[in-house]
Amino acid sequence: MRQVAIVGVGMTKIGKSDKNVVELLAEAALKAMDDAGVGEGFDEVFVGNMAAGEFEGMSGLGDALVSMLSLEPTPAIRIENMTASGASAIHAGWLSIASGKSSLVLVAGGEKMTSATTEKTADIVASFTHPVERDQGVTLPALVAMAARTYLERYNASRESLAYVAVKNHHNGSLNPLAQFQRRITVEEVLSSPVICDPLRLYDFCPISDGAAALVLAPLEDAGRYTDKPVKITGIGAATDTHAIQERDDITRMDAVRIAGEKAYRMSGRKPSDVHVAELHDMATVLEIMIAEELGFFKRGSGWREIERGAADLGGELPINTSGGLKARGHPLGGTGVAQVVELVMQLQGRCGERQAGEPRIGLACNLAGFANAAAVTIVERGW
Amino acid sequence: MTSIVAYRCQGCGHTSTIKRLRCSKCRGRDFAEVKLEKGVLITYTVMNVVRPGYAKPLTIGLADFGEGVKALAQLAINNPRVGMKVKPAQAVLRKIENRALLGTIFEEA
Ligand SMILES: [Zn+2]
Repeated sequence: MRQVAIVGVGMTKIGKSDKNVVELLAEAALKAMDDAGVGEGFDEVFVGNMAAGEFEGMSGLGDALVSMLSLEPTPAIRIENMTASGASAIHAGWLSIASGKSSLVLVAGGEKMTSATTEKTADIVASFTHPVERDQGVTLPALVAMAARTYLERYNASRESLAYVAVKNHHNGSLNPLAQFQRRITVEEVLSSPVICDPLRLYDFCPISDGAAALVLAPLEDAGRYTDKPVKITGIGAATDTHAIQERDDITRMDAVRIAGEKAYRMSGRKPSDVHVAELHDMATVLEIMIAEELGFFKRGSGWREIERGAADLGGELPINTSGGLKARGHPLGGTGVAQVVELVMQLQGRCGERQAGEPRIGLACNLAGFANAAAVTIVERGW
Repeated sequence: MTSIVAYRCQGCGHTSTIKRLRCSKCRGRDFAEVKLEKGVLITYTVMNVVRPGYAKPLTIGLADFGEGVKALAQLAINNPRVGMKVKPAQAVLRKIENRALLGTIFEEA
């Protein structure tokens, strides 16, 4: 297997857009191509997207993207793995280069969501659930809320600690010009926002977002043609868990995250304490804490306390979600996994301005699919 | 008495409310239906944002029916408490226009 490098990154502003998903993907892709200084010669294109059919009645995103960029006849396919479609598209791109099949790959992930109502969006997102549970009316926020109730009770965690995740990520988002939310918030504001699924409130959850992100991948040995600061993909890991949540032994455990993390650590030869900066799938505040524990960053049941005392702040031991995370950067479903890696690359390259978290050399991203029905972890490192 | 149907593996006895073609423990393919009648509420949430066709607010919960068998369902319970006893009951789960989806929910036992 060849070593794979990220040689260009790009992202749209995340938020509410007039553009359709293909226009968003193309905008991000062109930025990534310009970042790499390359306009031709792609061997394959991978598009991460969860639900363009349901949101916009569109299929064939690969061809549509290639055509908008005039990259025909480059083969292009869509990768769908629920809300981890973006990370899965990166993993497909990694394999294409690592195997020797391709020498230049474009990966783009994105979603256009704001044309649907909140209720319709909840319905589309819930399409990943098992029919037995879907018929009962479950939504992803409801599943997370049930896990939050158990986590808070079992570990005697403070409700304020969950709110602090939102406060921290809004702070980081306020330093990211491409983030959906630029406004800082307080713990009091989180705890007085409307209840969505108790015990979780509006500000515990990520927004509904339009947006896209993209990467250009090449073999590390060729990376010097495109950039002075290539970022190596040194670890990838993915896993699945039960389709129905009622089959899990413990609603607060995310085995798919733990196993995906173990695979990525093993492949890269790294351990949790080696990671300098992380982007974790904080679709809700409690998930940042639960994922950080599954990945070994904090002891089980202690993540809430560590994050509340500042361990994951920009100046903390392990800055988490420097981009603002799903909570403040926004969560265009299929775009999120790619946007997470875009942030890590920019952190490693020292391009994050006011939200730069020191001089990190190793970053980790965890993209969650559904209620940890699957997970994909990617470890990246400086390649220069 | 209303009950929830679960599937007990004839190879190893592992039981789940979810129908699989192969047992998750022993890969056996033969299952017998068993009835679950009494559960204990593990967790729940009251939803103020619901999908189209569901009552708002909607309360759903996860209950333990013993032997590690759990089931998730709507709760027809005003003030749910973790640890309370629940039992299955028939009810309308969802209504879209005039079509109702019937199913099994939980009420206080
Ligand atoms: Zn069995």
